[in-house]
Amino acid sequence: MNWGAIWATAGAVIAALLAGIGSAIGVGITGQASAGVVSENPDLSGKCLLLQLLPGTQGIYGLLIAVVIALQSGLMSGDVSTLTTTLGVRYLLAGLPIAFGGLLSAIYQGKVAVAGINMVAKKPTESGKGMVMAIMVETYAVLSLLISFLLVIGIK
Amino acid sequence: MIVSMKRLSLVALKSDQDEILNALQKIGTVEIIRLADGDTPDGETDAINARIQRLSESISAVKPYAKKAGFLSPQKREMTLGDIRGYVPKAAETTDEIETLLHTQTRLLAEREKAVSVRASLEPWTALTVPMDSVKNTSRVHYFVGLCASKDVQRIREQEYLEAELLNESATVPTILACREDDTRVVQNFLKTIDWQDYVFPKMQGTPREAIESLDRRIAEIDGQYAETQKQLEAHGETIETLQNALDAETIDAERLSARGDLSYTAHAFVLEGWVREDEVEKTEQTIKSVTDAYSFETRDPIEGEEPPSVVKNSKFVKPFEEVQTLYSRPAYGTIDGTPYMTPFYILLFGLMLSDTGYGILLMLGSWLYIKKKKPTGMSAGISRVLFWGGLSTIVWGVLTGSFFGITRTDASGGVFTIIGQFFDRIGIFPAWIDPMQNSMAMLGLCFGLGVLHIVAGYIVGAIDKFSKGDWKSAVFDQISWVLITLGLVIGFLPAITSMAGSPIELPKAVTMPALIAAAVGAAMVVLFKGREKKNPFSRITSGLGGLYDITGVLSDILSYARLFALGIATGVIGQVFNMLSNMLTGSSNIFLAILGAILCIVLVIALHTFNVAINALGAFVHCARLQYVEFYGKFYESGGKEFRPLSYNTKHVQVTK
Repeated sequence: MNWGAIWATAGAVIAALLAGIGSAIGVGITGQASAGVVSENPDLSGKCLLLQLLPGTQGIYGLLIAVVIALQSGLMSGDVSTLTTTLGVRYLLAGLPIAFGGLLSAIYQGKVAVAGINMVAKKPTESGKGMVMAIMVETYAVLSLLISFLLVIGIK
Repeated sequence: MIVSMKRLSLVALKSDQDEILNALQKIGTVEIIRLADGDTPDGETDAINARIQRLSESISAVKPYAKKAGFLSPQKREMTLGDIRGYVPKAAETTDEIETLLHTQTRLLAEREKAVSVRASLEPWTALTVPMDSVKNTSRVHYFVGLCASKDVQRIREQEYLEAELLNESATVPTILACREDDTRVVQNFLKTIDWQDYVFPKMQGTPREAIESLDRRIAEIDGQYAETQKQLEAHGETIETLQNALDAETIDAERLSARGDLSYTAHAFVLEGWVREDEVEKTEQTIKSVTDAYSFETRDPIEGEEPPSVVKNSKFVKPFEEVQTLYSRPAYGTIDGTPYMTPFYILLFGLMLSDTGYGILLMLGSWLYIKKKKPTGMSAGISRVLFWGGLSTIVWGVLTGSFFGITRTDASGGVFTIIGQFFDRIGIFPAWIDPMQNSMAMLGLCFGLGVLHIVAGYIVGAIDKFSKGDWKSAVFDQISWVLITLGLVIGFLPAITSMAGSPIELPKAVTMPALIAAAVGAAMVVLFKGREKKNPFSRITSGLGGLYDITGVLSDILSYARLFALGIATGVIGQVFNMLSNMLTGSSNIFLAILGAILCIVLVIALHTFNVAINALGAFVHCARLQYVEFYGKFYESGGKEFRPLSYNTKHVQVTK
């Protein structure tokens, strides 16, 4: 059994899985809030949509790391004969920052975006401020992405 | 640059009031300050506000049936004020018609709902074969009509003084009871002991079955009438422009009328107090002069305690970026406008976060088309121009870092993508500078370098501002000191940091030593002079040391620029993944499948890349804004300015032309 390939696959899976779950939750709760606001005032749908999109990026970052792991480790090309257990575990560990950073930051970013959507309902002109507040949370997803990426790229 | 404001006091005759307000609204240069206290009820204002309310309601009622504006048709129609005023009478008629239709619909719906509920209550009684109105009390016989729970049916049968007619078998049995008039009281008491619910037949002719049939006919009739009114309402969809024009005309008038309530009055004259931009004072006075000679027009500088609105003025190129600043906060009056300093950094950093030539072209073309065709006003006008310049920067960074719709020199997506990648490899100038995938540390270093530049620029802007206000102490001790610390430490430790990252940059001691000394001088300035207001030397030094702790803040500010690299990578790699996915559809050996695959591949490539550019442009826009607000503006900007709201033409649907 090639444990290296299994660990590396686990790394790709956990990155895409957890970050994806986080984004699904984040986009889900913001979508519910948007629908509420838009039912009162359909003209605000554009502004609400922008806020709803923000917690969606973590899922993309998770996918990105998963693909980079798959490419780098040879899972994509099918040649995993040189993948040792050490290398595989390194891929798994490298996937963890974006997995958990993405999971939690997407959920919290979703909560901030929901608050932003409520703000848009009361003050439609202030949607930019709501976006900036939500993006403050995203910073940590970006930092997680960065460290995951550098670690994966660093595995030769 | 922040525009100086003047406080205006205008006194003129009441008889000229309307004409003066008209003229002022047309040039839109004066924000009127409220002098009157409390709301003065005013029939004219109330009437116009009621009309505005009704127009808005009519517009939202017919909006679903209006022809959708073309995707690229202008945001606002260009019309003159006279033109749109001309629509007011017609719109009033239309509003009446629409309201009548809406009322009719409400009435029909209520009637229908009632008919449906009566019909439902009659449903159990269809077995009754005599007309409903024949079941009525006579001098000898008393009837009880109601629904009886089936478990109590047996008990009814047991009462010998009752004649019972059970109309069907279900959980609640429709029942008609008859008794002698004398037994009425007894039966009433008996009914209280069982599960019995009185029922009253609706006042209708015939048997329940006939009544149901007539209700069905009525419901069908109502549905017909409703469909008819609905058709008429839908036909009103084409009147939406009339209504919108009238709404804008009425809004303009309403704002002017409500401005009258802000003035203060004497027997024959009125007083208007307001804020005017210094560069528009002349124009404003000329406008009033053109109306009347009998006026007093005085302006003065704002005094202590007054808070004038904050307006910024910039060149045509920088102006769109004011919207980015406004998203954060207007500058406090009398402080510094950050827009011109932020603009070059915004363009530079935005492009770096997308850094893909293909996406840059899309963004540039898209926003150019939007500006040309849609003719946006207000905030969207600014944002679309910001994206245009951001797109240009994205193209340039795409060339420097070698990415075109996610295709790079070392592309491995297969198919046509790899062929393009190989072409880039052969021409050798794509990337022209750094390949972030191959040399991520250098790219990260570049991002941090730009961050240091940005932060130091922020301190310098603050220093220049404070020098120009004559506050040299703040300029030197609070701003310049940090320039020395930041630059000194970065240059001094550059060889050490870069060697950790694996590609050391060697600097001669002649450079690093003076840099470290400069940092030490800066630190000493902070320690000694941060608390310069404090008399007690001990608490002064303590406050200075506390100030030095801000160095962690500067460090985290610099690290924050790592997002430039991460977002750039995200855009590129996701683009590449999308190419790879699309390419999987091609390459079938069957000719038909191959053609089908190629078509699907093209469709998928377009859809996926559109998604990628949209979501990443949004990300780049907001992340770049954050770098300005937190990392750059944090060094010098004072927020909290009030918006300037002059009396002017505030319209939603029409761009009023002269």
